[in-house]
Amino acid sequence: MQTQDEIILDVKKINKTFHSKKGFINPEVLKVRAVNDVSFQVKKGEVFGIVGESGCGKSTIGKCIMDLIPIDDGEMTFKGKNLRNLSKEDRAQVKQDLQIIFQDPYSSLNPRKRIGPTLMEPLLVYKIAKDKEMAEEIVQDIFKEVGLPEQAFWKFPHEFSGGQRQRIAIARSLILNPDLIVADEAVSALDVSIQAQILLLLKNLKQQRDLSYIFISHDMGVIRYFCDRVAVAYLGQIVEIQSVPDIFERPAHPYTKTLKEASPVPSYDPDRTFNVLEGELPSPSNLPSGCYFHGRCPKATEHCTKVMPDLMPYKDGMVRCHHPE
Amino acid sequence: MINTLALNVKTATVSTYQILKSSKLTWIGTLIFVIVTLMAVFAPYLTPYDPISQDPLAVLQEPSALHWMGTDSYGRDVWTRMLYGARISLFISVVAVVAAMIIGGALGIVAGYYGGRVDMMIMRVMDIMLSFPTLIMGLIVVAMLGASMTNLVIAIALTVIPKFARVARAPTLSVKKREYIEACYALGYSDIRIMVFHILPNVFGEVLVIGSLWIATAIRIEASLSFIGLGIKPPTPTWGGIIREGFNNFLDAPWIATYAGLAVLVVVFSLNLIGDGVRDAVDPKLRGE
Repeated sequence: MQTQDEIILDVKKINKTFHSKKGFINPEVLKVRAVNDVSFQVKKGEVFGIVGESGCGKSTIGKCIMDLIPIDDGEMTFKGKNLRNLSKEDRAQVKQDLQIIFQDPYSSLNPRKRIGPTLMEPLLVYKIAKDKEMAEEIVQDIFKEVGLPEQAFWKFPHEFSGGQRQRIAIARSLILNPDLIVADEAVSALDVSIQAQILLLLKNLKQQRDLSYIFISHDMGVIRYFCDRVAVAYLGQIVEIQSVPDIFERPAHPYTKTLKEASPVPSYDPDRTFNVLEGELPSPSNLPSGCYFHGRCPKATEHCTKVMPDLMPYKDGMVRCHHPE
Repeated sequence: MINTLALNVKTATVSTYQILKSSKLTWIGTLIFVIVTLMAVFAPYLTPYDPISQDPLAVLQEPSALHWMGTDSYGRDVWTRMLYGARISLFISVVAVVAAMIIGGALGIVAGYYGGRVDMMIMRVMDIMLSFPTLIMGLIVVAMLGASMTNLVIAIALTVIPKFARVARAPTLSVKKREYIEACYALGYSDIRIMVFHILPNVFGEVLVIGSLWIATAIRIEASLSFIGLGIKPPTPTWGGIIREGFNNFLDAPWIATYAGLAVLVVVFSLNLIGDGVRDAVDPKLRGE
């Protein structure tokens, strides 16, 4: 972990609400708060994890940063540039410096396009390569870096295995030499042995290229191995931000604690007890009052049912709880 | 560190041309179409007769060594009229359908890609165009522009544009939600680049196959428009015109309409074979099997 404290991405109080209509004659508008008052900072050279269960909005946060989903309000600053208000030149620069790796390597590559041309295209669009020969050289260099054979250049995506496809997706995200990569569940669709290869690759690339990652995952084990700091998301909010050793040793938020306990451990313990949460995950279109977690929280008091806690500094990190541990 | 993984696939890359070559049915289709086209081009060398001049002494003759496909009610050789008719019928239908394919396909992709209001406007206009029967559409075009071959092409194209727009829009809607299109946004590509280089290749196959089917319909539309006097005026031969004329004498001289109908059938069949083959050839997943 690097000790530099240069902040590369600063996300301040972003919100995103999805609206969907239910019914035809007199539609009832459902509001789903997918991203709710989310703030965090990513430092240069760090791997910032976002963890949470399905539907907690972690992928939406990633897509908001990439401008794939427009945010309703809030501010995002990337390398000193306000992402919501970019000039044309700045926008082109940001697109090169900020890249994404998707979850599913099967749908993230165009089935009708050969790998080489797919990777050459951004180089030619941004005029990084003067001509096709030069672009091909750069692509072949990236192939070597991510462990793809030279012959992959003229092949179609369906001719590769899942792990190789993910390498191609990584190569595509690297081709413009970015500073920050959003890895949205980048290893979740792969089987465990391939996961390890890809994680190792991402780790090596980070060191060689001085990259930062936002690593979105639901897998606490992967987060523990890969990340420097983690934000825990619950119902569109961030409930805790801590460095990785701390969050696993002393989770401050009760939700983080259950999340950690629920993840599998590599040793067999027949006496292991699971502290299963009571109650259901509330619907994000019909959020409870007070703290969103109070209905399932073992430590909830009456105060928790009425007042929403703020994300407050706590020890070395941040936590959104009235009774942190 | 990282192992270079061995590829479990053939290393040779197969070109589109090689696929077309390896499919026998596509070959047959291409061969038929090329032969018909060549026959149309070299029509004067394939028959001693004139397609227009009438011969009152040889009216409605059965097929014989002199007249391979018999003669029509004006004593004109049907084989000759078929050859010359192919020139006009093929030209009109192919040009109209290709034009409609380009315009309708582009409209469908734009509508599907932008969605919302753009989609609404384009598709409602398409719906209005669809609601006009072919003949009414032809009447409107001819009334506005006058009867000519160009206007006939325009009339036919206008009636098929909405069909292509619909066929192109549906796959665009599903393709644009895929992650590889999101990756294009993340790379900051322009909308036009995304539509032309990333969506079009995924939509092309469907449009092409439908296109081969619509050429048949275009020949038929040309026939009905010519029949009511909005298209090619008699005595200029067209396949549609020959079928219509033959229809009047179908009980006395069934060969006229039958041969012309068979010709349409054969051409449409060959185009379907070509369309199928091309679709398989542009879909990388179907290659090599």
